[in-house]
Amino acid sequence: MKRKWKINPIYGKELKVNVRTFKFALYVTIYNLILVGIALFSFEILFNVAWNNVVKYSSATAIYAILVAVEIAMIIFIVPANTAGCIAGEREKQTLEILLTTVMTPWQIILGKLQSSISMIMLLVLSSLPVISIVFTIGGIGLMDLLQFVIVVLVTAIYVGSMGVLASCLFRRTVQSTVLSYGFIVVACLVTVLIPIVAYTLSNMYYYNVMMAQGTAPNVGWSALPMLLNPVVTVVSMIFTQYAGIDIIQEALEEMGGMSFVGEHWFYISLAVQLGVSALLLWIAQKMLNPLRKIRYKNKKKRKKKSK
Amino acid sequence: MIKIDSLCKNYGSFVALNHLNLSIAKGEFFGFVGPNGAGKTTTMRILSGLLRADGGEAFVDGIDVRKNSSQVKSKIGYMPDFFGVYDNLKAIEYMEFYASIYGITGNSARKLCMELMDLVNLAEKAEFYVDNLSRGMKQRLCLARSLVHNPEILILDEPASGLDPRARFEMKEVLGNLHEMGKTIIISSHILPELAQMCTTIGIIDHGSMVMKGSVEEIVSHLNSSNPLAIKVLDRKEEAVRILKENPLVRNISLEEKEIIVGFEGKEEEEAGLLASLVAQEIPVAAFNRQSGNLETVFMKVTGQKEVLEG
Repeated sequence: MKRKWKINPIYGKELKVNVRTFKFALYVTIYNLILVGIALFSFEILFNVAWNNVVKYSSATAIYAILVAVEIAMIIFIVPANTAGCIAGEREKQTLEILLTTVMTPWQIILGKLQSSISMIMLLVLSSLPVISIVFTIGGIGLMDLLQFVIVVLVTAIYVGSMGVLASCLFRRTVQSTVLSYGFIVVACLVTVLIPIVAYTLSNMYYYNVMMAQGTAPNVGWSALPMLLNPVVTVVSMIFTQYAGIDIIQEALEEMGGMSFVGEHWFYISLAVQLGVSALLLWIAQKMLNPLRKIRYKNKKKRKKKSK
Repeated sequence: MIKIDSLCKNYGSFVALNHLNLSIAKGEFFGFVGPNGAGKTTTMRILSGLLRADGGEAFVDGIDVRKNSSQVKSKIGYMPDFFGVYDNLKAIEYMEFYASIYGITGNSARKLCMELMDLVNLAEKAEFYVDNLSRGMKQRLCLARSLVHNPEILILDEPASGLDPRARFEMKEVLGNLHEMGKTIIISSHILPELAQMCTTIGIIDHGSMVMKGSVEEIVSHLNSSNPLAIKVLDRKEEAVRILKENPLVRNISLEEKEIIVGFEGKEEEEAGLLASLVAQEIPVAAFNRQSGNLETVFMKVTGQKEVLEG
């Protein structure tokens, strides 16, 4: 039997409402103006003979690296702000209860919200592809590289978006959930990098300064595993592989002493891990949204009171 | 159609529902009456799948609301006591959005939504942004929204709250039409005279338990038997009081300007005996009747509340 594909009603509604606003057109314009400005400025710096005396065509792909970094940074900052209010905003507008009395499941509500946030970001990214394609005029970056970039954008948007959705389910107010979602971003982008740096530094200090040992310090490659959760590291790994042909993450892991398999396939493993974590965050979010869930902690409190 | 068996719900130490029992037949127009915090909204939210009960069971058309809440939701149209607005959405788009949730899209959705908006007298406001509608219109739109999947049961939590008399009247008319269409309606309200006019059955809830249930006439007549007798005598009032005091069923007597108010707990035959004893002593009795109550006085008596009710 042929099954008719149906659009998620929340996604359909949000898309219609968002796209027809003047605000969205303004977003697309400003976003692309920023990227165009950066691209033209980089182009000018690299190819203006009066400034450089020599034109180095090999460094032309730096424009691509800069644009990708700017796009990812924007996504990491914009998506949580969008998704953090998706459920909390419905609560504030008193529309969530009505949605929950319909046949829509919490999963459908959450996925609809995430879909609409991501599709808005993807629209921004797709609209910016002509700007990024400026590097094709010089060469060095292929279509496959661009495709890889789009995949990274999509995964990053899902990942940081699901952080925002979970934060939105945990708090009643949009302000609180926005703060929490940026807290998640700080943990994912900064704390995960600090862990291996601290572990590596401490192990070297202990090995060489305290133990006065010689040779290779102990393997602390395991401490780099949390970096699989870091979307910035994934992007850096991608840019360096595409731009310079070297995987700096693999090199860093070798320096720390191990995890060769993870190091070799860092890019794909990190994407898979981030997608897995996104699925987990969304699963928790839909559990939080289910009005008929068991609230165990309350019962525990009651039992404690009774036992007293 | 709806069966609630020993339903319990606590909010911390506050008991919202205390082994509530209730059954509502198909096609009934059931009015849920009770003071604030009595458990009306909690019961409605449990039936609508918005709240988990701590104990007991609730069934809608034989389906357990806790175990099969999605099936129950397809049978219920719920209207809360507030109205949530989506910015930048027209009334018809608001309706179509909810229709799409139930898989109704395209032209069929537009046709259905226009029919429902016509039913609630909002057809001419279809292209208006929801935000720009009056409160009464929003309430009616919300009612139309709850009908989009043609539910058998409508659960309406104070649908007329905050409305002006005209909007209330319009809402009452729409609800009357829906009842005639065969919908089972559960409505909670503080506006008791309106409930008395609309509902086929009334349930009075207090402290989470059902205190009384029946038709408006049944409830009023049941409580009327404990109402005082009002006796109007044209002359010899003191002698009449003396005769009344001799009757063992008379509890208390108070004198008003034109009437003697007698606290009397007895059946109709005993009332007739009391009247006969007055007539036998040739007291000129001009009127002899039980003071009648309305739903409001019954509500106050049953719930023991002294709060002023609106309406």
